[in-house]
Amino acid sequence: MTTLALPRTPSRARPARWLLGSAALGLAVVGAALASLSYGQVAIPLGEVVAGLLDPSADSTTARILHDLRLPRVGTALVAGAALGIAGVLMQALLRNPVADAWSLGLLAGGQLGVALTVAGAAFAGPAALQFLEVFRGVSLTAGAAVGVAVAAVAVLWLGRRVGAVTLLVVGLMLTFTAQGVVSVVMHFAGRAGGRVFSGWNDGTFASVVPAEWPLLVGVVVAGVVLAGACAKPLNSLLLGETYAKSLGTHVGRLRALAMAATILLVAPVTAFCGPVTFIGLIVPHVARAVAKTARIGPLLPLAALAGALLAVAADFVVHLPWDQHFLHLNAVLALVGAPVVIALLMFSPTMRGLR
Amino acid sequence: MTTPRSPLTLDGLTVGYGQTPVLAGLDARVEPGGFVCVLGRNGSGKSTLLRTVAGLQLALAGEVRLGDDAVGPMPPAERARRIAVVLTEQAHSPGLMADDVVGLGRQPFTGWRGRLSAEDHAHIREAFALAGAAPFAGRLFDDLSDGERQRVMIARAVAQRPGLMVLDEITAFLDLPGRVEVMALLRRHARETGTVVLLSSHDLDLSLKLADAVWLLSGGALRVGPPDALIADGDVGRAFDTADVTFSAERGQFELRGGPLSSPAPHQP
Amino acid sequence: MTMPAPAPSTPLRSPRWTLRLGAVALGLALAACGPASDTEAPAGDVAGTPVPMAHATTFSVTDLGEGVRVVDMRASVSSWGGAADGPEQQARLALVPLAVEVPALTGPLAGATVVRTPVERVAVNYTPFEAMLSVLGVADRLVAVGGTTSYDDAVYARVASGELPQIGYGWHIPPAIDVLATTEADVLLMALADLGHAEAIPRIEAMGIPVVPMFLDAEPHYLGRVDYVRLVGMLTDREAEADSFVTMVTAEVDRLTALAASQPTRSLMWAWYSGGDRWGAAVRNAEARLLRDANGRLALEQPDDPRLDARMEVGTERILADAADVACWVQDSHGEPYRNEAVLQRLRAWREGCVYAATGQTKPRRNAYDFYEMGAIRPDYLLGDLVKMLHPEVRPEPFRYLVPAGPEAAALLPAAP
Repeated sequence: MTTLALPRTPSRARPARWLLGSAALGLAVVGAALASLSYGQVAIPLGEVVAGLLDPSADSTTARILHDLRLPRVGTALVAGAALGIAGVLMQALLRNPVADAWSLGLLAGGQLGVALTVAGAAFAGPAALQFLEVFRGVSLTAGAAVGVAVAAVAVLWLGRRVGAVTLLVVGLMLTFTAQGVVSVVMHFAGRAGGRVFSGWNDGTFASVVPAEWPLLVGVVVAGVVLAGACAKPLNSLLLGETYAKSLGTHVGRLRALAMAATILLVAPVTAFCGPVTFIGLIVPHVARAVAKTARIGPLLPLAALAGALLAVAADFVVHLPWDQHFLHLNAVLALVGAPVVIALLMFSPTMRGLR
Repeated sequence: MTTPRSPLTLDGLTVGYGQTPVLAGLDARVEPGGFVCVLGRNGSGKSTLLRTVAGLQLALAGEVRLGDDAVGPMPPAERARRIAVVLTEQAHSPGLMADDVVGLGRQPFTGWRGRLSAEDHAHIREAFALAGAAPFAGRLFDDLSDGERQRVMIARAVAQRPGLMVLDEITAFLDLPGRVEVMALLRRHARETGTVVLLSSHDLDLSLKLADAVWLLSGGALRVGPPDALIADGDVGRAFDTADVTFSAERGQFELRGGPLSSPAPHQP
Repeated sequence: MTMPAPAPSTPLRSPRWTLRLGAVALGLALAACGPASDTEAPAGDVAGTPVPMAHATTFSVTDLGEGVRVVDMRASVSSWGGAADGPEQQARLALVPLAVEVPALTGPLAGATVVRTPVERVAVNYTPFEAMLSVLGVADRLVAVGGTTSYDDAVYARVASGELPQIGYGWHIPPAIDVLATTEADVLLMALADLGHAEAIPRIEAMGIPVVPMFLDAEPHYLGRVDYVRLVGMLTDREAEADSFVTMVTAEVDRLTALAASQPTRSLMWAWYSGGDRWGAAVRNAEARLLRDANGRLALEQPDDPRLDARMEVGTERILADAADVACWVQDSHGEPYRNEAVLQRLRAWREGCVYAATGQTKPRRNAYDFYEMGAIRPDYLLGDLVKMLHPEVRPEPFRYLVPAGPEAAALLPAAP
């Protein structure tokens, strides 16, 4: 049977949606970034923000707050949010699981474990080693987090081919609890100073990255983005499953390795420098798909990067509003937004049909 | 763009898993535009044969040729441009649209970014229409019924413009009119484009009515021939008869031993 | 995503255990948690002679004769860096010498917890109480401690050998009641890190161990903490020693305050980095008073309020805006190193090298800090250090708790990568 009426042409409509969505998200990112730059515990008029951005050498206190505190923080939020968003798209496509991301599947727990073991190791080696760790926080904790994330990623990839989506999710959560249990035991032996190093890292934030760490953070993330771009086309074919991917000429094993490597390159530096940041990678791909009306990876990557950056900057803005007495915590703000989205996904997403 | 019309040849083909052959020494040939149904009981090796023909698993011996080219050693990218596959297994992925699925049929022909050209889009539109999947364009793949999804998957295979289309048990999720429509459209597509269509099915009656040729798998052997000849020779009966059921060559349908089935057969003459 | 951690309220402690994500709702735990209920008569209704306390406001003592004392305790327990949660905590104690018969617990004494004095077996859950027993010469009466973090070597040796049982990993959690039961303690001196821990009090008392809640951190004057030594003196029958100790500390504080007052006022801040752009800062109450008494003008200072914690969380922006020009900067012993050099260079105290951390007198191998042990009842030690930091010319004595933590100290660490 053939229908006489031709189908709606997606070829014209889709790029328009994509472009419009990108533009809107881009504008929102700029707006959120400007808001974050101008408002905080100290309010800076928007005019001064713009003037300060144009004149990096200005020496007023507000100019220094802008340059030394807010710009690095907002910049880190943009990079980290984009990286986590892209990583979420990769993981959801790789595992064909709508609630897959670095946090829900336990990659961040692996990072936590890596950092905890690093700290505990230093604590056993003695106070001097711990002091060394504080000074070299960038390098040693980064290595610990990156190794932890990578090991967890390989484990999840291995498991992901053997169990269903929901099982994998529960396994990921259990992995998180296990890691936190081990962390708690390890920290008991790491003592007060070690515990401080760990809990300082463990409270996710975009504010701790210092300029000297930027090249490493941005460099690795950019490598991850490039690799993600290279994986985009073959990953499309994986959306239909392994056999179809193979029939469409994809080297599935190589693709899995590459996509996972890209995910690690994106998640590990962010986790190492910012601590565990939850929910962004989980919900951003859904936003991107809703905007683009497609699951094709290519158009999703920039959209997810923009949406991730937006969510990260907006959450960071809320955290740094001048709250009375207490500070909010980044992951608490993200959870307030993210958890209801995840519940809705689990309940209503057609993709979860038959997997529940 | 059309794929050159190529005949499909099995040459002493042995298929199986590991070192265990399931079917050995198969020889067959399908001319371009041929619509072939692969029949056999469960466990007769249909899927293994089809996977091997499609190049998804290696032959234990012998070879499959499409035109002059052996499928086994063919580079994956080239194989993807020449052979399309549709399986029983249901695909699902978060946010996957019907358009994405059909678009994937063009992936082997796109550049590294996977960007679709106007020509690709034309092929996609055509494939949607041909497979009767046009109403599902713009819809979430996971929201479609099983039958609707199968049509979209066929549209994807059509969009691929292959020289050989391999379809394994794809009619399992369709109702009877749906099965007739799908098999008819595949046969028409084979005739019009010269694509070789190889389709396995449990739908004995329908396959025997529509196929140009039947590959009948029974007892580790392959019999090839026009449906009428295989029925007349009793090959079909030998392949499918059980203690209780027998295939009537005269009526072209199954009967209980000792009399025709009491319930209405799917295809009364 | 964070480790569950209890909230402390040690003086000037680092915010490492700051309530994290999930904000433990302290107030929810308890409605009527005080050992004595609100309906009972307030302090002052007891017929007897008040025993004056120079500074303490969280307890008052009335002498009923024959050595019998009624002690009324009341305080707000505030979470770290926050406001007091829930109702004010109250407790009424009757200290009754062993030689005297316990009076009828009626009228004003109804519901009072009876402690027979002198106590010979004392359980504590907080190291300052160990220091109190030490200065009174009765440290040998300890029968249980809060953890293995005693700075005092003699006490630590007894804990390490297992002779002294622990009733918790420090004082951050409620006392381990089963361990406590084996100690046959005459009394438990208990710090409440968290209002929820008050739930443990009736359960401990049901085992026959009277509990004296010690609200050191709620004292609005740092010398109020020292007055608690007198309460412990009454419990242990070491009143003369306690009185002379308090007099000695008070005199030393007065001398240092006068010394500092002779010098020009200098500005300072007491703030430590706790990661994630957050700083803890001492801004009010007892801590602010101590800094003022060193003739320091405290940056970020807030009005005193007994229902608010002495510490406040501020962002780096607030530090830059309000404290960039202070002369000196004191950090806690537990802050994280702050690593943004551009920001540090904006701080005058950093540029001029007047940066100190309270990390002296520590035994890091066993997490022991004299600053949190003896320092709690010897505010003159820290005051002397502060006077020396702000006005070095008038105080030649060496630092006790403060150690340099400015750029020159950072330079001694391995070079940054």
